[in-house]
Amino acid sequence: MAKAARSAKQGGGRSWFWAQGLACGILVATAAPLAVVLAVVFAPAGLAALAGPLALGGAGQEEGPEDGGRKLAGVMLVYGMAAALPWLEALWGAARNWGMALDLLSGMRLVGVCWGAQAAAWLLSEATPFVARLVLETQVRARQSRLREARGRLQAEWGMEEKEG
Amino acid sequence: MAQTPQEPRLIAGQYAVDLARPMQGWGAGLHCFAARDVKSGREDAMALMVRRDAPPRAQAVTSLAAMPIDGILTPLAQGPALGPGGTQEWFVIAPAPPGRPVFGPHAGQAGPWHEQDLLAFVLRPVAHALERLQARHVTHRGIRPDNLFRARADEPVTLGCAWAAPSAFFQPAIFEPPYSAMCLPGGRGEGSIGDDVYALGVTLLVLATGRMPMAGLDDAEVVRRKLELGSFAALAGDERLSPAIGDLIRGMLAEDPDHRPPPVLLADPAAARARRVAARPPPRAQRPLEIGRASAVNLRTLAFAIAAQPEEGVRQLRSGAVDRWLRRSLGDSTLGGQLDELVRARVADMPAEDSTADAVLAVRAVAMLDSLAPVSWRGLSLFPDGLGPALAGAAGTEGERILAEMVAAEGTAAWAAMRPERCDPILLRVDAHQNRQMLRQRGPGGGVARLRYGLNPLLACRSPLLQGALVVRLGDLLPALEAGAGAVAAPEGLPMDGEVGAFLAARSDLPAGRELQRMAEATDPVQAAMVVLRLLVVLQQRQKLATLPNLAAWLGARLETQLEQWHNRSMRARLTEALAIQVKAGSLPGLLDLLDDEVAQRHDSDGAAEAARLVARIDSELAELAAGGPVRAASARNVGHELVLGVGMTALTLSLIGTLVM
Repeated sequence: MAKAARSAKQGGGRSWFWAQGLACGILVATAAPLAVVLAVVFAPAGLAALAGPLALGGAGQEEGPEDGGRKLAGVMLVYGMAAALPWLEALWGAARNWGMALDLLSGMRLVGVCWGAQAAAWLLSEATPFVARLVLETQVRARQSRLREARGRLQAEWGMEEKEG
Repeated sequence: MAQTPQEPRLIAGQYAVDLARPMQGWGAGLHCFAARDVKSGREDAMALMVRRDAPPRAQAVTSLAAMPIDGILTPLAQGPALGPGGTQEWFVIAPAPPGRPVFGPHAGQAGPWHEQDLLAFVLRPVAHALERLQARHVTHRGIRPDNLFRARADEPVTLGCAWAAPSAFFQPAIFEPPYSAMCLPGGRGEGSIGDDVYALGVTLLVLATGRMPMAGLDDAEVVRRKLELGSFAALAGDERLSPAIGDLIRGMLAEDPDHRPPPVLLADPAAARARRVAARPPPRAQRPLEIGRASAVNLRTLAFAIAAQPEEGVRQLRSGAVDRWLRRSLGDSTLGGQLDELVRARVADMPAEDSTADAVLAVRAVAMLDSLAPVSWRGLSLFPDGLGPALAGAAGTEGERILAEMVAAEGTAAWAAMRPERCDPILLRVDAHQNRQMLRQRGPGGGVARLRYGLNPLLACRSPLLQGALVVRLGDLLPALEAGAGAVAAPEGLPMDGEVGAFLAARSDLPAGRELQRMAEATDPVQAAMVVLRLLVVLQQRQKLATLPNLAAWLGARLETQLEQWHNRSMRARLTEALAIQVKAGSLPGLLDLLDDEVAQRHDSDGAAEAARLVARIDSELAELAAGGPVRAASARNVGHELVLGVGMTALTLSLIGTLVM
């Protein structure tokens, strides 16, 4: 079962990879300046996807390092897109115009805002699980403390031997 | 309350013992003091101080106290009172003798008596007294010259008291038939009135001659001579007796009690003299048979030799020497054949080295050779109804072990089976079986002590726990135990040992035996202490004794550990406090209520089990929490990712809306 699921997953990933490749190929063929601008603007997300194993926070038991990197890349892409949307018209204009594309890139405003948004996404992705875990652990500690207290009371009242190490 | 040594007590609420007035030599072998009847003010009573190892004859005392007999110092009452040592002693009250004893160091006269005086003042009155005793199914067993009293020379004698000790306990061997004389002092049994006639015959002989026959001989030699020569010949020897007295005494000293004249006949000396029972003396062997140090010349001495030296006797029986001697020297091939059958049966049925089988063989052989002989077991002889006093006298000695072995082997049943014409073998077999059952009971309520107290209704408890206090009746036990517990600084063990347990089981109508068996089966001292507590509580409630602080403290200390069985600490603390209160109050029932509350103990156990389940559940949850770190980390990552993604999607949507609107 697990082997079959893994092979199915690998098969789906391969299709998605080829679909991505095809989309990128079409984009480069039809709007090479736009493709360059997008590549630069979403470079951090791309790097995050490639550097998944090195992504901060590591990987969960149920997911590999590639999955963690892909998730981080997805989040960064969303943040980057949200930041890039105000330049949609300019981007559309630069789709076949190398000059406008280079202006956008040289202006650094689009690049700075998008990279900043992706950096924020990365930062939040790293900080939020830490905070969530902190909250969970605090709750667990409190529960453990209450349980130990109840256990101690029972032992004292009923004269049980201390078993806990 | 326990009687302390400082508290004087009246016997039967009527008689006070005057310890300042001892009556030396008047107590038939016992210490004797003057006694006063406080109700009538009369001072013509005496108190016989009972020996602790020789209990009074309970049945006879009770019977005679209810209806005294003229001419005998019959018991009037009995009970405990202060003795000369400041300790409690058991006394039997009897009328004081009318005068001095007729013989001995305290005698009023010396020298031989005249025939007419013997007949008028000794034989007739004593025969009348024996006749009345016989009618009451009581024997005297203490007739001897120094136990006959009279005030003046022209008065009939009065028989002294003889029921404050076991039958014939103080009788010298010469006054007893040889078969009784060879027994342990306590083991002579009630006997028959014929034994009293025998003692009266010897008494007449002593008074007629004015001296004690066979003086200087030990008891064994006296018995041997009587068996060898016949009692009359051995005692009278070459004494010159008047024909009337000689004929009378000859008849009275017949070896077989059935051949002795009964008391009713003795009241008429002429008729008694005329009564001649043809009793041939036993045939004498041509040559003696040596058995150990003894030399057998006839069947009686052979039986006595085997009884006295059973190991050597059995060896000769098994070797066939006795059989050959019987056939060749005595010419009794019938008896030899019967004896040979006995030996063959023993060899065929039991292993050669079985000493108990040898002892049974000796018992059977002695009974077969001489049907008048008592039961003899490993050199100790007794009649079956003397077993109780014999055990009392032998308590704590090797003799006790031997007697217990005889009971365990039902030696009396084997003896009875060999002489059915002289006893009721079925009855004796039942008795022997019952005694054996009693002996086999385990724990403090059984064993030889149980047998001893069961067969001696007036035997004092021998337990060291009583610190020397006299406890004859069950009602005296608890106060004495309480006093004994108070006398010990740091009591150890339990306030009930084997002696107290056996005494309790014998005297009480409680189902104490079962409880005492549980005590023996108890696996730890606390369980045993609980059994003791239950028994003492029943006694305390029955006797309506308010407080027993010393016993409560003793048992409380032993049972404190019982509280450790309680799981609930707060309950345990409350019980400890309550225990201390009950101990201080001396309430044994209070202690029992605290420690034997089964409902509360069940609740406690149920509560402990529930608590254990809860603790297990807590431990399980704690373990789950401890092991859940990675899961929580993954969960936190997912939650963080979803949150950040959600924020991003929201921003993207807003940005898209903003771009489209502008």
